[in-house]
Amino acid sequence: MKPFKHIDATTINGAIKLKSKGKAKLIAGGTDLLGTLKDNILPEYPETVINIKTIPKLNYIKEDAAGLKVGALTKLEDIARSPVIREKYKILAEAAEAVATPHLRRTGTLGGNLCQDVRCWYYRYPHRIGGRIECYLKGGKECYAQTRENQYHSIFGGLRFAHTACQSACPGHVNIPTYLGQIREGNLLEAAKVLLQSNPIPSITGRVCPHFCEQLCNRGDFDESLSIRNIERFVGDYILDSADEVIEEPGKNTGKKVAIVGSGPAGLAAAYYLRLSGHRVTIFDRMEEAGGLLRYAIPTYRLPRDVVRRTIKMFENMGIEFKLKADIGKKITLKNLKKKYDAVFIGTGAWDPLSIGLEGEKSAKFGLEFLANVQKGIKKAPGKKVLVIGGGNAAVDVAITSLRLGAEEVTMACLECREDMPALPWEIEQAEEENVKAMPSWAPYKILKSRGKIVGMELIRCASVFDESGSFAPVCDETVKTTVDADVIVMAVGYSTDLKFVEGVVKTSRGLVVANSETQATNVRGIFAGGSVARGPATVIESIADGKRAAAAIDTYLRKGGKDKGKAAEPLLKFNPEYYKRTEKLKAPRIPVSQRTVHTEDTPGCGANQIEIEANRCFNCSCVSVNATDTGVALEALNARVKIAGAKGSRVIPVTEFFGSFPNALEEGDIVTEIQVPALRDGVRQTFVKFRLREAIDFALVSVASVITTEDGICQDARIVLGALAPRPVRALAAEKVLVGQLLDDKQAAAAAEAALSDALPLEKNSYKIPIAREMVQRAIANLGTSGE
Amino acid sequence: MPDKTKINLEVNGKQYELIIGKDITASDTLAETLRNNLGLLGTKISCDRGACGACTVIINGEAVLSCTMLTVECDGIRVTTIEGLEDPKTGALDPLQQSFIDHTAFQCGFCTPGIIMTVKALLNENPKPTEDQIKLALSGNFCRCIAHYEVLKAVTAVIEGGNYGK
Repeated sequence: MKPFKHIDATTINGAIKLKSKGKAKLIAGGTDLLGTLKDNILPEYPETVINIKTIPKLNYIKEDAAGLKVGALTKLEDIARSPVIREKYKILAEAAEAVATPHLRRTGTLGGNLCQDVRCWYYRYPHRIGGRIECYLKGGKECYAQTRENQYHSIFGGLRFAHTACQSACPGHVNIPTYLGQIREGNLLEAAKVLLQSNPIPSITGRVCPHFCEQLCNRGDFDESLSIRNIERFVGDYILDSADEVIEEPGKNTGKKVAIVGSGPAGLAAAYYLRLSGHRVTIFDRMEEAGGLLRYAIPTYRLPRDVVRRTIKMFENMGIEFKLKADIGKKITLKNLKKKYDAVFIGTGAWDPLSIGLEGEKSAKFGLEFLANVQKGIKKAPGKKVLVIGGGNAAVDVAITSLRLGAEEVTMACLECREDMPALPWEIEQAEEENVKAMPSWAPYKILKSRGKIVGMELIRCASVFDESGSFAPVCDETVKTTVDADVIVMAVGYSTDLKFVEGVVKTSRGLVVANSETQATNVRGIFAGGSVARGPATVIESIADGKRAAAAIDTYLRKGGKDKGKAAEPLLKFNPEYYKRTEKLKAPRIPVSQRTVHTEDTPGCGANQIEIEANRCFNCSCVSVNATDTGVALEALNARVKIAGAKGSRVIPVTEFFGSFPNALEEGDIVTEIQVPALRDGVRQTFVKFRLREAIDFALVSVASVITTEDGICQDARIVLGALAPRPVRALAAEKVLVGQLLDDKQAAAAAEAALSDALPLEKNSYKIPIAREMVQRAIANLGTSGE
Repeated sequence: MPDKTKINLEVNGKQYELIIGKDITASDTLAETLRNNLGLLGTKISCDRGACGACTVIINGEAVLSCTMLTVECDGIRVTTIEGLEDPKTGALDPLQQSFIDHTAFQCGFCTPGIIMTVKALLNENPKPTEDQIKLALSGNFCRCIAHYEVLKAVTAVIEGGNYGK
């Protein structure tokens, strides 16, 4: 094994703290973990292994009238041998005894059996098909089991793992594959609802977001990434068209008031989620119209004003109040707001020029101000020969807008080389298509003037922009010079914040409001901040993410404690071999260069039909491994609950919820501490069957646990759970329905078994599991018990 | 909590002190320590993943797998390996070992120490196990030469012979 640091934890809280810190893994019995370390197959090799066996009082079996409680560190062999479990909760004893071998059961624990790592040979033995392969779970671009050997994999579809590539790439963690799935099902309304959970202004981001998600899309390596942009825009416009239907009713009035300063993306997102939680929300903005940079910085040809206005209207219809031309810090101060409102969110953005220390810099124009003026109606090119300094979005916007307003020549110079220019490649392409001259790798050196007027600029070669640690440290060569003629220079190299209105109230540092990255809380209780004012130059989606995080924290703060809704089990996802046909990315049409203006949008977007085809290109990335737990299957049939200790305290969740998300519901730092099984009524029949190739060591090919209550032979209640057939134990609800109210005989058992497998979706090589599973279900119902041969 | 600096082990009645960072590292398994530090080569490492039983030793009375245990987590335990079965005074084999020889209950012998340690722990707990109990106890010990039938005979003979003492 590669080395690691080993720490004996002595308390649960100590272990949680250690686990939350850096790369750490818990070790209990170690029977699963040590193998994964020896084979070095984990996505991240742990720096620390935390021994939790040294925590006292986690190894016990207690029983009273309410039911059974088993400490998570209880050995499987002790459970298998426990007289009380064998008598009253016998399928738990049988499942424990069905695990691996007696030797492993003497060290393996119940908690470990529930938390065991993924069982897929492509995950476990990444070196065995030639070279190391990386599956989705390890940041790879392909699920090998979906298209290659899948004999031992799921027959009920895949389960979405925590963050798919696209979702992790998105700062707002929009659940992209799920909303695309809804589009594939033809359910635009549901798609809209999923999207709105993380992004309340998708018609805007569908037009202006850089879509980091597309850059990491797993399909990108296969043919071309999905055009998430076009799909998002389509769903976003649908939301604006049908807001009445799509937008949820705000929650019950909490009587709390929140003030939001700034109506840009951060403020809008905070307002939306706070309003949904039932708070009264007022947004203050100094401008005449709401929207912040969406309204006053992004050119209309990229983001039509109508879209912004309709979005604001939608917010107003939710009961969000906008107070415009209200410059906080003048008539109303931050302190006043704090007094009048229960909480305040600051999302004022960054609107001031950033000085780069160039001599005569003040004679240059500021790009953002130019764009804002255009939006205010002053539609005039800044000059005839325009030199834009900067290589980002704003620089491109300034360059294109200048051209379209009649500038004769527009040049864009930036420090970065072409590949590293912060603007998106296709934006630069578009600029060049319209005749903007791009000059990457040139640094501004000297503003040239004649008779007090700008006539151009001298530029020097920039060799590199960032040092090895990634800090901004441009290296220039003063011997390589060039000159650009220009009658105006527009600076679009960044912005700074105006923090006068927060001075003396909240803590600031380096020109930004200091806010906690998880809660967006400032140092003053009740005041939160996000977006560019707190994080520096931010994309729209980053600001939205800040606003949403702040809304959650403000809600917790106002309610004096969070409301934990619990997570519903995620659906199992169908795998479709059609995904792997080569197709092209959807490209939205753009109007011809000659017709482009500053008043109308460059692209009319895509139609419903195109969007549906594009959504069908999504790989629907999921993991199709089976969860190999034996005890988990029995516990789900017993309707057990799992007690989890975490950084935010402990919680008790049903086993169904524990296995509801992949690979389980544990979050960073969480530790399973106890399993609780409710007492069973008298006369309840419990059966556990496990089918495997060898009677020892093997994992189940199929396992079934049933808990059935009968009265006079008639089934009153049934819980039937299938194991080793899906990424989590699966309740056979259809089979249960067939049984309840019926006489329990062989015919009924066969009908239930048929129903249990009716929605199976086998992969190419594992349909053989279906008849085995059917037989096992029948046995579990007919109470034939014990292992199948 | 202060970091542990050393591990104290009792192996076959002898006390050992192992310094962490010098004698052993945090990632050493007990099987590795027994073989590499203490020179007790009777304990075998085969699959090294907890699946075959070749590394079985007796810890505090139970047959467990020394390849799936970290030595740093073994402070204060009492270990018996195959070397610990002989009579310390006379050097005579344990009756169980003798019975394996008498019944040729092995071919290559690689898995034999693990099997003997598993049976030893079983008989300590239950001197008269049924055949099914023996099979269940041994279900974690794999033998590629298929000596299982002779193993059963050897174990049964010891039990029936009544000459099995603790």
